[in-house]
Amino acid sequence: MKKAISAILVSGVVLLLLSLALLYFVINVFPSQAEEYFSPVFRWSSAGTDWMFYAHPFVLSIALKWFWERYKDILPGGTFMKALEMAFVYGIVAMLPVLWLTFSAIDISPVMVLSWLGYGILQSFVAGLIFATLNP
Amino acid sequence: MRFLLLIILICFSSFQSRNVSGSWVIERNSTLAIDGSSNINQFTCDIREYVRTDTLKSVNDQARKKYFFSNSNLSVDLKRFDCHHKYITADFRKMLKTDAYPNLVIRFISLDEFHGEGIVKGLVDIELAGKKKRMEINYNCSHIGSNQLRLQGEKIMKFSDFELEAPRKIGGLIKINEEINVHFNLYFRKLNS
Repeated sequence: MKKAISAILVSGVVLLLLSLALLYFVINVFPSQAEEYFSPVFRWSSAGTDWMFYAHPFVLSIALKWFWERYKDILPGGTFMKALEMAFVYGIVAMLPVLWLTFSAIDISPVMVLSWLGYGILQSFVAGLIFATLNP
Repeated sequence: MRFLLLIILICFSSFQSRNVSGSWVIERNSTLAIDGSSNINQFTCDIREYVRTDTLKSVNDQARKKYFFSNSNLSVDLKRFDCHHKYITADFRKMLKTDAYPNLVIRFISLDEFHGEGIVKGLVDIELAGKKKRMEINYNCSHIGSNQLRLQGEKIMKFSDFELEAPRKIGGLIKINEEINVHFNLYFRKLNS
């Protein structure tokens, strides 16, 4: 239990740093893409929900840790391959249908949706690497 | 006592005689622009044409070397502000609560007396989103022809001056900065002197 909690915490912190780094990367390298966050489809001011953004890597880590413990034995290969497999399972099973529905319902660009898909797969891959290392 | 009253009367009448009133029409080619920024980019929201023709009534208090204005409001329709960026324009209007408070009202209080061209100080009340704030603005004043006047000025303000909250997205990592620079470019035509 202690190992599981520490793995979740490590994964949460690493995913949070990754999300901050990626967001700053987008702001500085693709500013026109980042501007889309000013679209009225997004919450106008996130002041009351800022904590949810910072908590999301931990929520994701808990979910992925549950998935990892249930299915790690059937994932093929070593650390890298297991992490990659989990990333694609998460991306295809969890993210793709939800993002498909999101794109159909709200006015966002295809590039924005694809960036979220890529971001989710990358997050899952990093979490997979951490779990495969700490709880093989 | 009569002597004292006489002196007061003379002083009062001389004071009165040194006040010269006039009326000014704000010309259509007046513009107002707001420079703002986010942590992504910079933007300018502007109104390229002042469609109303408000009249300012002034009294030139020659003793105090100032123009004082009465009932002299410049009212700007905020929904006509264009930030030349569809997302920023929508957010900007929402931030300024344009549905509830559609106008930016600039009430002219006073303006230092000017001769020819130069920098003059003016006092205005700015009413935005239901909040009013008195501000001093330095204008660059220039005459255009015999009865036209151009006042150019800028003032750095903060959204918090009017209790407005700047939008923030994604945990506050993408946000509009608090400070804005308001540029006035006002043309006046004198009606009488």
